[in-house]
Amino acid sequence: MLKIYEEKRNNIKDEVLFMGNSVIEALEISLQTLKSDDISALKDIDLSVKKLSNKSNQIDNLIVTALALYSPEAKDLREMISYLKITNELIRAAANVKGFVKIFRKAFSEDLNTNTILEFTIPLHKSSLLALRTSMSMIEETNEKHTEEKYHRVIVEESKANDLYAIVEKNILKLISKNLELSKEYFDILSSLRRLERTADRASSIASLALFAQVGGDIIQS
Amino acid sequence: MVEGKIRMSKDNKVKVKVEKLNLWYGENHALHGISTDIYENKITALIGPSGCGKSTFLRCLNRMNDLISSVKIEGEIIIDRKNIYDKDVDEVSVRKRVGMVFQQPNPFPKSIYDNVAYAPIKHGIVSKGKECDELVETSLRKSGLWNEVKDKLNQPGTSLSGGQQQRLCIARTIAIKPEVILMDEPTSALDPISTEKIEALMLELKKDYTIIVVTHNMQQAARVADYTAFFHLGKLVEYDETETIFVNPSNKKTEDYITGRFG
Repeated sequence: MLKIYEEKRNNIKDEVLFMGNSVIEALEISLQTLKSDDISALKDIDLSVKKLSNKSNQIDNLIVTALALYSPEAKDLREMISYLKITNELIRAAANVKGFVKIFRKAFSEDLNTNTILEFTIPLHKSSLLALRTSMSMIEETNEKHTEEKYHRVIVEESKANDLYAIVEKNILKLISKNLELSKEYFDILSSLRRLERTADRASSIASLALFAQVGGDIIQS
Repeated sequence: MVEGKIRMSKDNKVKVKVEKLNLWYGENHALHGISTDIYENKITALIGPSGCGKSTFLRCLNRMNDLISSVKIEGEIIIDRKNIYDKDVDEVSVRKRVGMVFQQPNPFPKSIYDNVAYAPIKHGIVSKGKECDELVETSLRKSGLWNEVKDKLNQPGTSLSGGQQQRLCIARTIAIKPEVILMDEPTSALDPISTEKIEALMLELKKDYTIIVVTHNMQQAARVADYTAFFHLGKLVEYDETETIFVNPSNKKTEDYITGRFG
């Protein structure tokens, strides 16, 4: 492949990684905030879905141009198609993270049973973050075996996130049944955590796409 | 996009300005009022179906069509503010400024060294000896061939592979220090690896030269050209940045051609 294509390809990859890092960074800060029990600090998280959407459009147009001008084939083609879909997944992940931060911050208060909420929220958050971080690192991976290992790690984290959400849901429903006056706040907390769990789903989809790019096979997007 | 007109680029310097160029082969009107600017240090690809006039147009740019007695040309081709068809312009001096690489590699039946040195010595650009040796080395380096031939400069040019022969022809062209290089399907006789080497070379050469290439390979135009001109039935149908031509062409004929619906 021509050097000029390599440059464009690397540029596209860097832009996708930049998008991913923006979402990962927001998740890292929010996790830190939960761990330090300083929920009000969630307001400092600056994650603009609009800006990421603009970035996604910019990347998608770069990809269309690369496809039109350089007719990439095999792995190069798989990579381009994956990036095209990964940008979409990252927008959805960013919307979930932003939704989690916004709703959780508003709903969380000392009136709620914070210990019960945070007991499984923090592990759920960790799993979502780890899933996304690992899936994005697959984009830079050049070793097929490592790519597959990372893919399985993402699937495990996604599964953990699902299970942890189910536990949190069960616990919160119990709390609601005991204190119906706070049911709206508890449901909002659940809604925010659902978004966190969905972030892990998006990470799983990104991992599938990155696996397709590196190893091949059929394209799968969950 | 209006036929025969182009979108002007503010950022690029015009190297070749073509004004209302018409060409006839006897009674056959082969080029119809072509007006366009070709930009310095850019690669411009000419694409279109067989017989559309792209090679005819290319050959106008260094007065190669003067060699055909039935050809009649009207209009102007201005290179650096001088019409190359003015009566006081010598066609040999034009061909020195506007070099050409052909479809089939055509090295002289001489050594690799002499293939490169012959024209510069004839034109008085260098004299034999160290000066000439340096020019040969520089030209072969620029054409990406030096490392492959430096130990066999006295061997015949024809002993090289097809791809190497074509790069030798490019070295021969740049040895006379042209400003513009015309390439008429320079890779159509080459395998994919040699083609990629020539394309990479073109991208390097555009730093120093203005390159105009005729190609039937649309992917090649897409890969290497900064600007692409689509010809059809002797008319310049559309001329724009390559990205625009291949992603958002303005003219339906262009779109139909590049998507393989005709031609």
